[in-house]
Amino acid sequence: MNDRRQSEIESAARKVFEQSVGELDGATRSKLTQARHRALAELEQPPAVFGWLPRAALATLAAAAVGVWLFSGNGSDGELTETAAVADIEILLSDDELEFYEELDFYAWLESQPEFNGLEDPLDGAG
Amino acid sequence: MISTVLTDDCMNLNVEDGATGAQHLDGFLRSIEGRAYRITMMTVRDADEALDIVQEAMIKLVRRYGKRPSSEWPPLFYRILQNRTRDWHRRQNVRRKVINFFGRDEATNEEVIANAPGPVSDDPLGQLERDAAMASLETALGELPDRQREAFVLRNLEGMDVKQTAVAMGCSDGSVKTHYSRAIQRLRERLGDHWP
Repeated sequence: MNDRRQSEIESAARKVFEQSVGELDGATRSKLTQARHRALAELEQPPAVFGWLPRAALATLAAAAVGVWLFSGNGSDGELTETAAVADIEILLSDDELEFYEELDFYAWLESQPEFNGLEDPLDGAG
Repeated sequence: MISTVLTDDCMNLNVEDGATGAQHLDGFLRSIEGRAYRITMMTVRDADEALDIVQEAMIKLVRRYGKRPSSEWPPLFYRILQNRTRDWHRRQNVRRKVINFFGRDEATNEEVIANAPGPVSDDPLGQLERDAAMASLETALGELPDRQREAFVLRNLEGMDVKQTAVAMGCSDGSVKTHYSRAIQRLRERLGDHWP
């Protein structure tokens, strides 16, 4: 009985999933096709010799800036632990993630806000 | 399932020739793109973000593993996809911290749903039932711990064997079996006796 219900769930899950894939709307299908073509275009790109250098430089700068921001005391007064700060840096510097580097102005501005400096732990309890 | 979607010619091919490699990669990506999108949507629940994650995973697979034997692509692709999805959730948490500091509201799921194109069907009642069944499954899967969900999705929905799943999840065969068994147990409890 138990095995039968397990098999039913496995089978039904596959069926429902397949149906949902088959019923994807045209717009989503089109976007997925474009995504595939963009990925395949990578095959035609010559290997970027030293192409990683600007990124590495940017990542180092970002690490320094974010590190200074996190360890400068703005976060350390509250419950923002060193571990969390390191984890945040790691996230911010994750591979292929340039958005955060582009937001450094924002973080610099955030740091300069008096109300931010006045808070005990501005990032506490936010998930 | 991947194994049935990919032809025998495509499997175990050591891709050397550019044109042939592109064709095989195209075939592989075509076979998994819709499924990858659906799987990503289960946890991300944002169409644009899910599309971005799938595209990033495709690009990374092509860039780094396009020359690998095609039999290795499924577990590699899903490993990349899982990592990208996990990274996305972690970055969301960091961003939420900043956003909450300013008391700004994030886009709600309702907005995403409202903006999503409606389904096209000649059988609206059947469509509703299928949608409800899928929604229940998505909800139940969404409530599983990450590793259990991954094991169930890869083993059952993607049809990978234990070894492929272990590669995709970056764990041992035994762990895959344990996660899968617990996932099934929880899904049974969550979905009840009458689903779908």
